[in-house]
Amino acid sequence: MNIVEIRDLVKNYPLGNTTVHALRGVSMDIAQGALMSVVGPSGSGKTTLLNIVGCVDSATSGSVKVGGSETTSLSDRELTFLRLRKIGFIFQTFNLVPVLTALENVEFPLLLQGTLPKAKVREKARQLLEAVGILGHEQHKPAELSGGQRQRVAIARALVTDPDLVLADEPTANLDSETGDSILRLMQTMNQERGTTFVFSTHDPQVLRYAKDVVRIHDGQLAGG
Amino acid sequence: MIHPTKSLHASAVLVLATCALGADPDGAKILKALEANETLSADIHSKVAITENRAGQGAKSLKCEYFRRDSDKSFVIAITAPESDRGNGYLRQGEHFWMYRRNTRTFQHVNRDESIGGSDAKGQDFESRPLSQMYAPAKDAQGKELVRADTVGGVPCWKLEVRAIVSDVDYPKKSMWVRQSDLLLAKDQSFSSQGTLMRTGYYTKYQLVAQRQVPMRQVHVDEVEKGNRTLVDLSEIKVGKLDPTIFSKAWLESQSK
Amino acid sequence: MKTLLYFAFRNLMRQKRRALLLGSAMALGTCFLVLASSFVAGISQTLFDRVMTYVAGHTSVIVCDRGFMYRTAMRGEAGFKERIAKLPHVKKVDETIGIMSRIVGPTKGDNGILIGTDMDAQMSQAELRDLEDNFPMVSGAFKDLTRTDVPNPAILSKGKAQYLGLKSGDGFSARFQDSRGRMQVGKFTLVGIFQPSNAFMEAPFFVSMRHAKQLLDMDSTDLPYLYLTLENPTVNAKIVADTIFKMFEPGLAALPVRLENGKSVVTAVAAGVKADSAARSRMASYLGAGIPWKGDVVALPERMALELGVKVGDTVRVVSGISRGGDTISDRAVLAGIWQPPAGAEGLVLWEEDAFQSSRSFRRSQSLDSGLAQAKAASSLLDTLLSPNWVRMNRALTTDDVRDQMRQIGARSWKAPVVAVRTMYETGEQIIKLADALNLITLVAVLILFLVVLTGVVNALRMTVRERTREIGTLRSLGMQASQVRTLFLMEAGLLSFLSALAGTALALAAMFGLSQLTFPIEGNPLSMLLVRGHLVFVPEVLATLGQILLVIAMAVVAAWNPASQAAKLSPANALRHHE
Ligand SMILES: Nc1ncnc2c1ncn2[C@@H]1O[C@H](COP(=O)(O)OP(=O)(O)OP(=O)(O)O)[C@@H](O)[C@H]1O
Ligand SMILES: [Mg+2]
Repeated sequence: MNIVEIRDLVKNYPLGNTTVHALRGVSMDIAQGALMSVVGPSGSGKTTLLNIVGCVDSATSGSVKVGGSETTSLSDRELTFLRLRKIGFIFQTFNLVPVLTALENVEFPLLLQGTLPKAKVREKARQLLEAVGILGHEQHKPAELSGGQRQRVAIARALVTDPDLVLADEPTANLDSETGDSILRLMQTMNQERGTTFVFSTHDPQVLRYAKDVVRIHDGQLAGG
Repeated sequence: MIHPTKSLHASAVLVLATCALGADPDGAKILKALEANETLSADIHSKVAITENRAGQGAKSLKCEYFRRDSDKSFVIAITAPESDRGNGYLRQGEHFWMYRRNTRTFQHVNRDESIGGSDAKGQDFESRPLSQMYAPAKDAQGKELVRADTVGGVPCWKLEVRAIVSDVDYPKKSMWVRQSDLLLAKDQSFSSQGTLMRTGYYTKYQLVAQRQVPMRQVHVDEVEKGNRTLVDLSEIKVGKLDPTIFSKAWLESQSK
Repeated sequence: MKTLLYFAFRNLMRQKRRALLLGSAMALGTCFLVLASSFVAGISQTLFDRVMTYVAGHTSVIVCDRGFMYRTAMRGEAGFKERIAKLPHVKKVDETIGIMSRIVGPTKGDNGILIGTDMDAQMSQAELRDLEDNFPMVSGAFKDLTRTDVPNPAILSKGKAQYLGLKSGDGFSARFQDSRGRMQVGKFTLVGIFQPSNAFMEAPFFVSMRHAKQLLDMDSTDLPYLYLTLENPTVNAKIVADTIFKMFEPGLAALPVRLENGKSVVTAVAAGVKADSAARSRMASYLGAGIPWKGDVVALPERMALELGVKVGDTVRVVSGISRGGDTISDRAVLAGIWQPPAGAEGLVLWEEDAFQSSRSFRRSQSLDSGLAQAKAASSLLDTLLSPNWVRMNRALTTDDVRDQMRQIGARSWKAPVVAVRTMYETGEQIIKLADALNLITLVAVLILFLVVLTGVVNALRMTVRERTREIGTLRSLGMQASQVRTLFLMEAGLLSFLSALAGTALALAAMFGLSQLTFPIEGNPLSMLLVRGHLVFVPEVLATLGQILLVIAMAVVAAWNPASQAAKLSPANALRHHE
């Protein structure tokens, strides 16, 4: 079963008088439980593709189905709701909320959902912090953590809501290769243990060995497959 | 300032006719005699000088022209001196009574019991009523009228005590000294309801004017504020029809120019 | 919501300097606002509760006897005072007597206003203190007005006592007109001297209310002027005035009398009948052949005329009561005609209005209107001719109306007592204008504060939104709704303003405490009327202060609305791409 189905996806950005064709007709499926890597050079459209799949950006044309619903016809509210329930994000720059502690950062998506009681939320956040291996740092603010630790917290945050799909845009680009490896291994473990679908972008061919599937993108088009 | 109204009016009301009385003094008859000549049948015009002595403040005097027409209860007072008051005046037309002020060129309506510029003269004083409708001879326990012989400045008089028979008069009790020879008022004293002497008036220098005897000099002594006395001197009394335009606001206003 | 609030709070702490700076500005603004409004409330309270109640009353009842403006009593109607005191919103009803008088010292005289001060049980400790605040005593005390060891204890101002050459303990006299229009002179003893807080307060010449009434020949059944102190006067003055106005609905007047002719005596009830020219011709037709209805005349039912043995043209003695002096109040009226009374009015004597009303005015201590039923029965026949128990002046709406009305009351020869109901809006317009002007201070404070908040909040928030754009993108991608983003920023502004307003209020309270410790000289200070014992008065009102805090928050939220909405409108993808 596919968690994501993309057909003829086109994304144009107006830029002054011209138009940037970031995606030029992309069609692909992402199967549930996949650990997929999107590879391409800088400017090839990786971020654009992930943003559209992650429902933070809209397609110019084409069809994008996430978890069965056609995202191109959803309102901002509905898209936001979809993100909250089904999608987790991991960013190149970690993007933790600086005023919150590691634990609070992880709790945050659950609190936004507002379905679990506070104690459950805390318990779950702890479990995840433990799973990503930074228990003992939960009261630290992001600024007090190293890059690798931050990204682990970010992974815990992305996974805390048990999403169907986790999107990671160049999650290791800001880390040294050793730390990067450990992050990717962590994602691999999570994929295997929890069955969460992971899609991560990279321009580093080294990273590919962690992926089960690889999609190559070049100049807004998938290359070969 | 001095307010000429009260004293002036009193002088006019107390114009008396010569009328002899028998040896037996009769209060009611004396009052009748006084009342019989309250109203002047002819218009009059005279000059009036009022000198007011205030305790500790020396004398102030005021001169005015006085026009009176009893046929329709009108009068006009136009002040001619001193300079500070010249042009101010009073006008009465029937029920209405105004005070004119030169500075502001305004006529101010004077209420019935409003004190005129702080003096003890009131607007109501100009609603003249016959003497016998206000006072009746007072009687002693035996029901005898309180009339007895007395003298004022050596002149034999009847001293008559009267009481107000209506409620709204300034003074509920008065004593009047009437000359025995011609029944002219020589002196009167006014008392409060508690019996306190409030003021004393002296009337002298009677002169015959249009068949009436008019006191050319009055002296009013304030018995409460000791040392305050007011002299009213009449002169140049003329009798005869007055120009009707005199009794108007316009005329009074023109006098201030 | 709680999450957002917590989050907002944490965010505020992030930019401590900015929050502190903006917060201090808002705190100062709030401080100024609370201070200004408490000051204005203090002055308003002084003006309305102290000055106004002395000068005009929040609402007042003015009475005068038949157009004699200085005869300020309505006979036999004292009951109104109690009825008015029971009305809602009425805190206090003061009888008020103020009569022009001539005060005479050993060498000189001067004008003054004789004022009756109610020194009886009704005066509370607080009221007494208020009185002495307004008229600070140099020697003696207001309670000395109740002394019984000297005749008519009185209090004068320092200036007046000096001018008249009087010192405490000296006797003096004063001349004035009593409530019946007679000139009176009273002997007084100076028991106290006060230092007037301003030139206007030089004139009062205080005696106890009881003495004032005796001097003016009034008794407990007479209704003098009433000055009312109300709860919340600005709201209630007119309402209460309108209610009292309705209470004074004029009706008919009647007066029990005894008619005498020599040895024959008949008791009857008299009603007044107008005697203007229109009334005269109507009366002529009721009375048939007779004497014109003019001057002091009566009309009797035939039976009564027979009992008395009088015929038209004869004089009847009409005895209408006993005066305080014990004199019989009587009048000699001419029988103008015989009238046919309608059923129920068989014992009714018709009496020319002037004589009737003046007898009514002079009677005392007895119910005036017993026998009213007979007058009412007669009204079927005589309707508009009957004399009323009083004339009620229309409610004056402006100060000019009141001035006109005073002129009317004095100028027209009213045949019956006159009553007018007024509020401070007509009688104390100057004071109200002053209070309104002062409210402008508060308004200015609000405007300044609004500017501070508007520019401060808008700028700070715009900066914050720019700085936190990527964070907004992150939050959006985590599933935060656009509306929640807006709420978050509004909460930040609201929270900051709330804390600032609290701090500002605390500051204002401290400042008030400090300022009210200062003592200003009273003498020669034109504003001393607004001081209480030389101190500024602040009245911080809980509700008003809460309102002001809410206002500050509301202003901050309104100012934050735009930048917060901008933040909410950011597209998440663009926000994420943002690099500061
Ligand atoms: N908001 C935008 N407005 C205009 N052009 C844009 C915008 N976002 C992306 N692009 C353009 O679209 C193309 C695809 O960009 P995208 O960020 O998806 O590439 P990428 O593969 O993620 O590159 P990188 O490896 O540098 O992150 C680029 O040419 C970029 O300049
Ligand atoms: Mg990219």
